[in-house]
Amino acid sequence: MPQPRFDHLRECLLRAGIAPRHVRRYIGELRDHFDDLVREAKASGALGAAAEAAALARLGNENDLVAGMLARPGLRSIASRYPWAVFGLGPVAMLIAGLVVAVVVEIGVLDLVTLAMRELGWKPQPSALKTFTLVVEVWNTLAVYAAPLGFAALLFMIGARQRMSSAWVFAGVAMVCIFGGFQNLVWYDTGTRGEMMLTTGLLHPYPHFPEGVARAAANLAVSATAWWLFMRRRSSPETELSANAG
Amino acid sequence: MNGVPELLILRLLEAREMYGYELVQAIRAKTNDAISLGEGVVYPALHALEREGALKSRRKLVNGRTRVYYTVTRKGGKHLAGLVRHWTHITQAVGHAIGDARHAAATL
Repeated sequence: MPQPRFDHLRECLLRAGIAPRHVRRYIGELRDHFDDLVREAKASGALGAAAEAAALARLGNENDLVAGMLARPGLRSIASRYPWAVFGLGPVAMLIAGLVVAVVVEIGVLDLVTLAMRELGWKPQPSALKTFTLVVEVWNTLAVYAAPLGFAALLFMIGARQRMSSAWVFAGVAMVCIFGGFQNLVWYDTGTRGEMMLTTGLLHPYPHFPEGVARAAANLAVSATAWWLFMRRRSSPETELSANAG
Repeated sequence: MNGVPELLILRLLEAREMYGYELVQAIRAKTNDAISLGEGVVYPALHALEREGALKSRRKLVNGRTRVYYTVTRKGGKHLAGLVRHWTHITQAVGHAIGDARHAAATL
């Protein structure tokens, strides 16, 4: 049974700040309702196009369908209600949370290894210790270098999915790229025990400041390239065709 | 009409769980088509009531199609009782006002 696509309705609702999960479910329910109305119209003798036109008329016009959702502020997404929190405070919170999780996981693993060594009498070979140090360094590198880019991608996805204003998305992505460029998590293997140091180049005494500037610039460049590629792909005729067909 | 869709929805779903189309047909039948809204407008009310905790939903496969069925929660039952009290009060007040106006017109 051919169905109205409700694409324009979906866009209107997302741009008005309705949470994507409510939009998705609303559109699905409207489609099912439309199907039922067409069946009902056909059962009472209406033919093809007439049945569909009658079904659409009973469903309500697009303005009413949009207004029904907009009249309920509780259905709006958190990002549209508090964009300053998601794209202003969110980047800082994400970076802090990312480092805290990375450090807590690291300490947990170190404690487990220490416990295993003590309880099982395990004495690792020097090569095993080197491997362990390497694993810790890779983990720290991921937390310091890759996490900001991951958070930038997450903010971008939230913004794109909820049709947020580009200014908010840009602000969030730029913040996470810049602040993330200056964070540092270093593991020092002193031979007898390891030490971990968590620093930011944005606070006195500004450790590794020039490196931080370079990393922030690199983060911004990577994010800008990804953004540009995404926009180019979205506006390409093939993407539009496949979206319309889907 | 403020609160009327919520009142009707909660009253009808209190009796049994229904999906959107079923619910709209039940509203039409119960009100003798006196309330004619775009049928799609029932869903925002259902979503909002569910978000408030007055309804809960579940997906159910019926005749090869997945339907979202709604049912009233305990909180929804209390909400309905409040709405019913409010509307009873309003209709009684309006009834009195109409009755007084008729009585005044008759004595003139």
